[in-house]
Amino acid sequence: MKLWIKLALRELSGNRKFSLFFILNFSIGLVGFIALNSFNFSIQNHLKNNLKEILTADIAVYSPRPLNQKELNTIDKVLGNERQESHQVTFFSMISGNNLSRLAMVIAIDNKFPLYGKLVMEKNGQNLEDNSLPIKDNSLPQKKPSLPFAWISRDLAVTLNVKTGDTVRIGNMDFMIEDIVISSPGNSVTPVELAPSIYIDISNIEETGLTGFGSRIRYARYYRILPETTTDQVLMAKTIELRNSLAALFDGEPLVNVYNSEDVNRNLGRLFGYFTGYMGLVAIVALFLAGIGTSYLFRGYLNARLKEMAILKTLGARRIDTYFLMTLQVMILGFFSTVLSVAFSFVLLPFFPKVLKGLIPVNFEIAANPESLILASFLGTLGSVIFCLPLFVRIHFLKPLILLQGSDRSAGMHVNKIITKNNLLKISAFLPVSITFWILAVGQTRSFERGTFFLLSFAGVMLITGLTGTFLLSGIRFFSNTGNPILKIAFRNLYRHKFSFISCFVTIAMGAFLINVIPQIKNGIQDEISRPEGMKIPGFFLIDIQPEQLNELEIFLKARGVALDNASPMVRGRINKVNGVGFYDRFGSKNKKNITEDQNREKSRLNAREEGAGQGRFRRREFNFSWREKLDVSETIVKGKPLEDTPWNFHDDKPLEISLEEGFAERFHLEIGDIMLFDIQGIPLEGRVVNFRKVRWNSFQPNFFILFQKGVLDDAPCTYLASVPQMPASEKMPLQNAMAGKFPNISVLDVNQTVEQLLDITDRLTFSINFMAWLAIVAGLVVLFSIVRYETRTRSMEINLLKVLGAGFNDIIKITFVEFGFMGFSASLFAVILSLGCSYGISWLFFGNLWSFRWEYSLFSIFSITVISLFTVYFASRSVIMQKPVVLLKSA
Amino acid sequence: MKILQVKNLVKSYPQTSDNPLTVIFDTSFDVCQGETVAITGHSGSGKTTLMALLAGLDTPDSGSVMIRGEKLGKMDEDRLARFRAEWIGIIFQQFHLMPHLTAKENIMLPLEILKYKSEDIERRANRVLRQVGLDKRKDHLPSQLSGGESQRVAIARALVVEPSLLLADEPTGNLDTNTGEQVADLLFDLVDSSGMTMIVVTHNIELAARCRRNLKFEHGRLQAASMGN
Ligand SMILES: Nc1ncnc2c1ncn2[C@@H]1O[C@H](COP(=O)(O)OP(=O)(O)O)[C@@H](O)[C@H]1O
Ligand SMILES: [Mg+2]
Repeated sequence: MKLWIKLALRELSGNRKFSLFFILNFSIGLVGFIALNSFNFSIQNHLKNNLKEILTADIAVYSPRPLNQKELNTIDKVLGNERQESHQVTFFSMISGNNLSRLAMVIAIDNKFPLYGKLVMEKNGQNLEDNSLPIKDNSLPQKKPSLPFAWISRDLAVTLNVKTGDTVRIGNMDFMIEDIVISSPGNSVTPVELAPSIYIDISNIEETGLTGFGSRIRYARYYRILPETTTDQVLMAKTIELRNSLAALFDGEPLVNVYNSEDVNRNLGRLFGYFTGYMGLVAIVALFLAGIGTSYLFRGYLNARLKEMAILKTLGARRIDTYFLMTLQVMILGFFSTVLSVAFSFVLLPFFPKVLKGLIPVNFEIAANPESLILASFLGTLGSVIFCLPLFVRIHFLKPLILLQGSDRSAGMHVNKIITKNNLLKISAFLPVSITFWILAVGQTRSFERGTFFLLSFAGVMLITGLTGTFLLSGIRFFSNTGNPILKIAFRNLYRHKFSFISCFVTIAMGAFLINVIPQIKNGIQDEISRPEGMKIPGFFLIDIQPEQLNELEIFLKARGVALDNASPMVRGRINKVNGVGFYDRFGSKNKKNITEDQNREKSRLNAREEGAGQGRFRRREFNFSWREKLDVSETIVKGKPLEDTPWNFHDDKPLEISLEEGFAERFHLEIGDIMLFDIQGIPLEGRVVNFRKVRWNSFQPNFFILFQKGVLDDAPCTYLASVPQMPASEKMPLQNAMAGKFPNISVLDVNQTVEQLLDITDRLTFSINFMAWLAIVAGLVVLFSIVRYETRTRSMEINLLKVLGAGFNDIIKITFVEFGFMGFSASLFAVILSLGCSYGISWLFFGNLWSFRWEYSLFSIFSITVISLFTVYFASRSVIMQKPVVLLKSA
Repeated sequence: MKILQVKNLVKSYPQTSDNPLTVIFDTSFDVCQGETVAITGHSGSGKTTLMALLAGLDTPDSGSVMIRGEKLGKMDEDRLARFRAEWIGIIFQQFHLMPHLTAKENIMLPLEILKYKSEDIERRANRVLRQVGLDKRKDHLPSQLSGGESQRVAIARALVVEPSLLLADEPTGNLDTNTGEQVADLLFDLVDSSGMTMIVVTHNIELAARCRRNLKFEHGRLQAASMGN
């Protein structure tokens, strides 16, 4: 053992350049992955440690109406008296102040808020250090000022151009801004909100006059269980008990949701998982490309070591000893790669919060965590072995006989000859690499299907690239039949060194492919978001229009020269059953009262699919329903037949006809023909799914998941959604202010502003994903560098011979440049073409054909990759090219 | 005592055309303990092939090689490696030293692989180093040694385990005449003084002349050469 370690270290230190390249190359591949995972682990830890602050409670109960006495009694019974309690009501409303207006989230709190965490405010910042929340000492009602107080978020203060002491109006009531909120618990997770928040006292909500309009109000009760030492298990048990006891009060789906911090954890974890998942996949590709380079480097190294291993074998080393020796060397290098990449990742990590600002918790700090370090060293040491494993086949076939026969170079060639006959072994040696990447991909995407899909498409792209490379080689062979000696030599060099050409071609092309395909997809999405083709995005989107306001609003707008478009009624209700089984029961095993045959059938249908919207605890209890005279331009039926044109008759036995949005149907596993039981304001209704609609949500027109046949909802209490067409920017704010003044209950969403926010987010996401893609390119360049360096060295004889035969220094440079320039150019050109194809395909598959071609970026990438390749090649081959041919004599 | 028994050895190499190239035809011979045997023959006659078979580095098509009463063909690869390391020393034309180990480390290597005690290793290595006259150069890497010195290290490495059989394939083939003679002198001194059995393939007539027995490889068979003593 000691002997082999000594030998391993000796051989590595005897091959310093190789070791250095290996480490550099592999660590570049690792760094993105490690940085991303450190970030991931950090964020998970952060969430875990702050769950209660995020929820602001141990247990929260949410409902769309105030809880009744029966429900409150149940809570008392389950939670006991040892508890603190805080009440909250939230709803969206227009806030006006200083002649400006903005849709905001009104958070009405009591003086117990928050039970965990703290509000950080501008003025009272100093007092807060000792955790004495101002609201507890001088809570709003106690002060009895002339106007009630409000605390507004900084965002809102900026938008409305107000400061402390100014007045804002919510509904029918004026509030005085007492302070500006810098950060608040609960809101600190994802600060990007479509609506900024404003805090008022819960006792003032009635007076705003906004609660009566059936607008989307959420009533919340937060509980902090005493004593403080209550364990998480007890809290969990109480949560479940409360959930079940409250559910038992309801006939169908309960209106009340019970959450605890575990639910917050699961949901946020999923959110960040999605978000880092795609970056992770790109990081995997970078790692893979670096792996190709690593294994290429190792191939050269191993070939040089074969002779030594043969010597060791004649001296009595067993086959296993030789494996061990090489594995040890790779592991040592892998370990140092890890160390280096961890060091690199510390440089990278601080950029994550900057790039992702607004998407991650405000007070989040990245810390080195043991999990990611363990993952890193595991991946570094074992990963490098796994990459080099396919080459270990060479050791297997090594016979010390070669020592008697001929020169050193024949060792590798001798082994090559045997290996080419053993295709099965060769292929099976690649299994560990494939399996490792498969596991990584599944881990990153947190989904078996998506991970597998990724791996297969990746393998497909690799295969296409490899085949194209091979195809190019035969073309090159043809081209080498030219009179021009430089072209002739350059092209001949290319096809004579197939393995290195394919390796370079594949790595460069894959890197180039990545940096092209992601922006390409993004372009399409961005274009679509900002100006959907064939559709006009409206200027405003209006929510919560009361039926009796509809006429008045239309006249009001007409007077200002704008139309009210697409006014669509919206009725709230619940979905109780699908095919006889509780809507959410179909996903879990809750409430196993009496399972009928129907239920069994329904469950087995869903059993296979584990992932679904029904899984989370954040279940939607209420849905919006609408009906239409005719479909909007933004929606089309993709499956099934149109809804019946005649109004539905209550006295008919026939179920009413329903149209579902495609994605909604998929999420809740609904099929055409399914019978759904609804509860619309207490009235049970039975409907049958007759078609699926594709909806372009980015049209920002009123659209619904569920459309009913005409006539069903005529008498149900409803509100209206509508849109207002685009208008000059200068006219927008005055109109919005006027509407907010005249119709304070109508929420007005500035569509352009929302689009900008979305674009900002996609921009930052693509930036971070693209950064990973550039890592892949760098990995590819390191590969190129190492390959060129290795090739020019093994070819140095040839090069020097050319010099002796009269080729000038310039000729040699030209040959090298033609050779590798051609390689870089063809690889990036191919990559661009492939990326166009793929991005088109992806857009078509996932984003409904959103695709736009930006030739500038593609051209730039081809150009820059070719030039960078040439530079890399120049630096890699310089020393050999500059050599004086006299070495020919010396080395003889 | 017979240390090496070769019976009906046949070896051929597959060729691109159908009929294989048979290099060794039905060859049998024995070598006794303490004998020195020179094998001569023109280039391409099959000497190296024979050496490879004797060292167990290659397998014959038929026939057997028996060393110290054990058939090489019966051993699996690892057993053979162990056996070879213990009983057979091999000296190559191209020296084949480990490039990143010093002269002394190269010599110690076979003992370390065979897991000798470290005092033993040290003692034996120092002794052989002295015997081949390289104690002054023991810390040099192969790249810092001349051809003759390298071959002396290789000889020391082959002898340090005190094998029963020493196989040398053109040990002076890569050296100039003078150096070759010195190396040959050294080799014979060491072999003679230890009573070791040696089979040496050589073009060097003087080297062959110093061997007790001379064999010539011709047309795939070994024949006693006329020029022995
Ligand atoms: N691995 C091999 N495959 C095919 N032919 C071989 C191989 N090794 C040796 N030969 C052929 O066998 C013959 C004997 O080779 P060798 O034993 O090396 O001769 P010598 O050592 O006497 O010069 C030569 O003709 C050589 O070309
Ligand atoms: Mg020979």
